[in-house]
Amino acid sequence: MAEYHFPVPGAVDENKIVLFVHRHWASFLGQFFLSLVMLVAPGIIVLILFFSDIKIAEGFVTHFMVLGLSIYYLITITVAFLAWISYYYDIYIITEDAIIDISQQGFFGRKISQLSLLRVQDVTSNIVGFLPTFFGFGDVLVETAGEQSQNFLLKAVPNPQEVSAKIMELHNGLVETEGRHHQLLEAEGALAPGTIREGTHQVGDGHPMSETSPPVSQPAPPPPTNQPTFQQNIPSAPKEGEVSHDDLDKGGEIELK
Amino acid sequence: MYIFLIIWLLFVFAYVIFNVYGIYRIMAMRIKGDSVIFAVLVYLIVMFVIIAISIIIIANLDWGKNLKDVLRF
Repeated sequence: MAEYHFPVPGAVDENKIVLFVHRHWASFLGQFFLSLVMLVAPGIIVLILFFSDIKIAEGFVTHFMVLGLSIYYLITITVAFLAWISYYYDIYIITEDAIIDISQQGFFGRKISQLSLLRVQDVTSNIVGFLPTFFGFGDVLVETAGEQSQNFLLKAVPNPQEVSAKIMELHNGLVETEGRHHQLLEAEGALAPGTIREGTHQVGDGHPMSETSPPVSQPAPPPPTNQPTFQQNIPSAPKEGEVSHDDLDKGGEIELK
Repeated sequence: MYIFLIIWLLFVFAYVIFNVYGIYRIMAMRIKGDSVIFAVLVYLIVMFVIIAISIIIIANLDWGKNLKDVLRF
């Protein structure tokens, strides 16, 4: 696997970075040669006119030609530079728990998208064409689960099969870690057994509650006094709607009261 | 003929402003330790070489003639 020791944006925790993927240099070859031809071709034409017997570049045609070529070359180098900037800052950062896509569009556009690895469902690597096959680069399509599915296309990355395998490996590891985390919480009593896997949370009296329940900060209606509640098991029961320190120690999994 | 020279100068003026602001934005969005500074340096050198060569050639040409005389065939 190609190594990328490219420095990272300050917002990303460097310790969590697993892969730093840059677009393969061969994917820039087309734009590079196009820019080269655009820079060289007018010069060659001017030289041919200068040394030939064709009397086009005479009189005030020379004036227009100088001004026109000057403008043409300035625009061409700017277009070439913008293409290079867009290529150079097309970066994909794969951390332990997310994929970050940094996309540069010329001078004035930068798009940064982030996708949680937990949402990954399918990963497809795709190598099509002579140059991608020869240099070993291609696209990696990351598809997500859920109604609002969001697809991530990692364009022209080196070794796409290995990148896609790494993404799936990180995804599986993360799912396993999350599962163990929930098992630990269940063992500590912070979660009712099987609540997360079944897609429902349980309140103190054992009634299942859907995931679209109101947030913790909103005060819930007080329970009837004749029924036992979860608050009675807590040594220092907080006031209604408050989050106690005991709850915070349970890894952020807070019982609704 | 001076009109074309003025148009060219206006273009160069707008071009330089566009590039100064664009490079400023690029430098502001840089990623630590990248090699963009070197690329920007090369870009600026090429840009100023083109402008300098243009000015040298323009300075050696006669721009004083009337446009009506030029367009008369």
